[in-house]
Parts: sequence; structure tokens; C-alpha cells
Amino acid sequence: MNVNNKSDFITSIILIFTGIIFYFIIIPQEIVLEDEAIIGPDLLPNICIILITFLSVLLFLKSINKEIQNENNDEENSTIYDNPMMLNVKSDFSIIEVKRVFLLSLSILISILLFIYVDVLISSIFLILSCCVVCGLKKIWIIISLSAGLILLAYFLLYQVLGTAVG
Amino acid sequence: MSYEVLNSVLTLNNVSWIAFGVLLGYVVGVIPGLGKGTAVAVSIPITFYLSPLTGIAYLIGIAKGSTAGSAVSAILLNTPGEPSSAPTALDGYPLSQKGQASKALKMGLFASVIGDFFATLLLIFLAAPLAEYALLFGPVEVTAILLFSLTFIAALSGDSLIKGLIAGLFGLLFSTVGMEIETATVRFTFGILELFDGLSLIPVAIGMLAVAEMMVQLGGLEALEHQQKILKGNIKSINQSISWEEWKLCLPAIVRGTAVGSTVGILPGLGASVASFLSYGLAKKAAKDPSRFGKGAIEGIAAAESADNAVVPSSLVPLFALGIPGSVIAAILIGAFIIQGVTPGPLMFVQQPELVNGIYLSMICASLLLLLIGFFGQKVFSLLSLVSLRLIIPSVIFFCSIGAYLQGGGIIGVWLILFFGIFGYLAKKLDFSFVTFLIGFVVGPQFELSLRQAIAITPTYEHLLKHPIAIIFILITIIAIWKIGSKKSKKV
Repeated sequence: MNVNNKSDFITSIILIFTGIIFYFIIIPQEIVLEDEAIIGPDLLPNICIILITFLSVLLFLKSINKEIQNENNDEENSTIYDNPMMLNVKSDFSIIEVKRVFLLSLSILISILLFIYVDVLISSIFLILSCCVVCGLKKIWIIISLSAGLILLAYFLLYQVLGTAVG
Repeated sequence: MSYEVLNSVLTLNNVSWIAFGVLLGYVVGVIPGLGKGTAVAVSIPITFYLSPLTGIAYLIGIAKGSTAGSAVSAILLNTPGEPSSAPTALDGYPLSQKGQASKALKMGLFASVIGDFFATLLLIFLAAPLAEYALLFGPVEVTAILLFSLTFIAALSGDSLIKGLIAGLFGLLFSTVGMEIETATVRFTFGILELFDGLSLIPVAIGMLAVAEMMVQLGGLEALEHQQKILKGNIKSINQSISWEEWKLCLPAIVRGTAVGSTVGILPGLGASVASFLSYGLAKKAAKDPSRFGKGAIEGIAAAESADNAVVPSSLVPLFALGIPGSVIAAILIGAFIIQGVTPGPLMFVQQPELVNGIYLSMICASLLLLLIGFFGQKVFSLLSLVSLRLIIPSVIFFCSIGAYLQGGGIIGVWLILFFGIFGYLAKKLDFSFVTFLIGFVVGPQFELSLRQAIAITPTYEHLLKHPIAIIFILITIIAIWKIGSKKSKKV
């Protein structure tokens, strides 16, 4: 199966399930209709979810069709590309990229928790330092001067120029 | 334009902020991986502290500067700052390798300024008459036009019509979070008090544009650094001027590019990339010797850059005249307008004509400042393209968090940039148009209101016959989906 079709295939299944969960569980729970209005507040969310589910089904069918076409093409071309390495399509998501994205998201998440439970300064320092580490910065003096520079710049901009207090 | 408008625009404060916006935009444009969407989204919180005119002019300055600046990294690094500068790299990079980088950069700048200036004039002359017609539209027509814009944008931005439509529908769905105005019903808040007012555009835009883009860039750090290493050896270029012969070659390409960019910009959803590639293709077709293209033809740069920059002002035509954002920049600008208590659309011409004229004059001012800043700062900006993304990403994430905190209702704003950052990253990687999502999110409340009113006004199909404009737009929407959908599936 082609990687793009594979991602379309998986995405469409996730979206179909999301649509069903939204339609039957989340919308009835989260939009409580007080009275019988002709045009209820759930009109647009329901329209959106029904259309998303319908389009996801179309995407699913399309990805299956493409898959069948690709399999036929693969059979036709098997004599030319008999080396399995040549048929190995490179994934859109590289492992290193996914790892970095995960670590960056985790850094933001931890800095939010530090902001809530500890202190704004510690949260800011942690956010910059962890982002530097995720990006692969190794020289300590660059990391320290970048952190100090950014925090001082934010302090100058927020407190001195704009007069906003954060914390 | 009255004396008062001139007085309000040509103040030291206003001009300084426009110049700062252009400069910031240019710097952001030069650095690969940072686009005008990122720059404008991150800068919105600052406009809260500025007057409406200065704030909007500052943001438009960033968008203009960034579009022009993206040519620098395309020419020097073969890495376009934005996708719309990709055709610039086709001839800019070969010229740079021949030791004519300075000439290529100058032509890129001049073409950008000319394209931008004339498209601004087009906006000035076209938006007001269009707005007069728009004032005649009722909720049925507005619903039909919004439906048309959303489906048209969904159909054109990205490779798949289905994915584009799904993205737009998700944008509409997220816009329904919070308290519904008519019935005071709370929707999708999951008991979180901060969500009762709905999702603020600023953290959503920052997450979808800036944070998601930084996540995407994390995967390509090594490839970019390789290009930067190559450039380091060739950065010392001599100052070269453009000869009259070269100008004669480039002027028709610039005129054509400006016309293409202006037309494409007015149509919602097509975007700067379509304009620059189309203009480049036309220039190649019109050339006496098309084989020169791709090997360092200076008119290739002129064609691409003039079209790319003409899109920014002309994409504001639907925003100013109809209140409908046709591009990401226009969608984010709506957020800035709302912060300032201004509703963009036809009524703006009636209620705040001074502001509209002030924005026009500020845009012309930004074009001139773009020329000055780009021309005198060329060497410094060239060096900026060597700045490592490893330093940029932590800085952007840090300022994104501050911006989201300030304009997103506190720490909930930072939660939102995290959520929409991951959401936007997945959307970008899986080719779900984030442009359509954002525009759907922005027009969502207006669409819902006009849809409800339209249903109330036209309970049966017979009532709809009284609205021919709406019928025309519905028919165009159906035809557009049919035509574009079948064309795309054939292409696949």
C-alpha cells in the first residue's frame, strides 16, 4: 500500500470514529437543549459532524480504490522493480521528527504545569532550555545567553514598554 | 483623502511602527521556515497596545516585508522562505551560483515593490465600489457567499477537495465552542469556564501557524544547515547594478506578474503560490528563449516576485469589501480588527471612512519603506539567512506562549497553542489545508448567524427564489465542487 494512501486510510477511519462519537455522545452531552427551538444551537455542529463523517467515508473509499490501483500497478511493474528496497516508500513522518515534535510538546506541557504550580520565571526558563535541547543546541554559553536574552527581552517588552504584568 | 487622514498617518509614531513592521517582516521572511502567517500571528498581541490604524498598518507592514524577504533565502540558499517564493529560487539560485546574487536580490526587491504598490492601488480603487454592492446583501446572500468562499478555498488549497472540505468543516465546528448567542446555550466547553467565551482566534492562529510550522521545521534542521554551510563560502558578493537591457527584459514580466498576482489575490483561496508559479510560467512562455529559464534568467525572478507581492494587498479586497477573508493573512487580520473594535466589511466604509483611508495611505507608505529598508539592508539581510533554526525555534515558541497568554485569556491560551500546534502539525503533514481550517474558524460565527437568519427568512424553497444572487452563488459552488473535484481525481 502506498504511504499516502495508508495515511489517508488510517486518517479516514479515525475521522469516521470521531464523527460517530461526536454525533452520538459528545454533541448530545455537551449541547443541552433547554427548549424546543426550531433552529437549535446544535444545528451547525450537527451539520459539520454529519458532513465530516460523510466526507471521511468518501476519503476511505478513495484510499481503498487507490490501493487497489497501486497493487495492480505494482504487479505490472514487479519485473522492473523486483528489489524490495526500491518499493519501500519513504514515510512522511520521520522517526527523528516525531521524536522531536513529541519532546517539544512535552516541554510546552511541563512549562504550563510549572507556570500553574510553581512560578512564571521557572516555567519560562524551563521552556527555553528544553526547546534548546530538543533543537540539538549543545554549547552551554549559547543556551544560557539565549535564555537570558529572551527573558530580558520579554521583561523589557512587557513590563517596560507595554506595561503588562504576567504571573 | 482628507488632511486629517494625512495627519493621522504621517506621524512619527505611525510611520515608525510601519517601518518596524516592514523590517520585522523582512527579517522573518529571510529566515527560512518562518512565514508571514507566523510573523503576523505572533505580532497580533502587540497591536492591542496600539491605535487601530497603527496596529493594522503594522501588521500589513509585516505581511508585505515578509513576502519580499522570503526571496532572499530563495535566491541565496535555494530554500524559499515561503512556498510562494519557490519559482524565485528556480532562477535566483543559479544566478547566485554565478556570482550575481546581488543583482538577483535587487531585481527581487524592485519587482516585489512594484507588484505590491500597484496591487495596493487596485485595492484602493476596487474595494469601495464592491462594498457598496455588498451593503445590499441580506443573510441569505451572505450565507451563500460564505458557503461559496469556503468550498472554493477548500477546493483550491491542497491536493484533495475532500480533505480541504473536512478541514473547513473542522474550522466551523471549532468556531461553535462557547456560549451560543441566541439561546445562551453552552457548547463543547467540557466544564471549562475559560471556554465559555469561545476559542480566541489568536491562540488558535498562533498554534496552527507558528507552533505547527516550528514542529514541521524540526524535521528538516539538518537539510537546511547543509544549505547554509554552502552559502557561507559564497556570501561575499560584489555590489552589482541592473543594466537597462535587463530592465527591458524584466519590465513586461513585472507588469504581467502584477496583473496575475492582483487577479489571483482577489479570488479567495488561490494564494500567492498559484500566482507566482502562474506568472513564472507565463514569463517563460513569452520569452524569446525559454531555455534560459531555470538557469539564471533574471526575468524569472521579476515575474515570480511581482506576482507574489501583488497577492498581499489584493487579497484584502474581499476582506474590506465583503468582510470575507480570502487568505490566511486576511483571516488573522480579522482578529486584529476585532481586538481594535472594528468589524471589517462593507459597513467599515460607511462607519469608519477615516480608518479605511488611513489604512490605504499606510499601505502605500509601507511599500515605499519596503523599498528603502530592502535596498539599504540587503547585505545585512543576506547574513540573516545564515541564522540557525536551532536558535529560532526556542525563541518563536517562547514568544508564541507569551502572545497566547496575553491574548488567549491567560494560561488557557497556552493550552490552546499546544493543542492547535499538534493539530496543525498533523494537518500539514497529512495535507489537510490549515488555510481552509482557519478561514472556516474565522467566518464560523458569521456563517452560523446568517444561516439561522436565512433559514428563518426562507422556510421553503419558493422563498429562496426571491434571492437570485444567493441562487447564483449556490449554483457556482456546486459547479466549482463538481469541476474542481473531477479535475483533481483525474490528476490523482
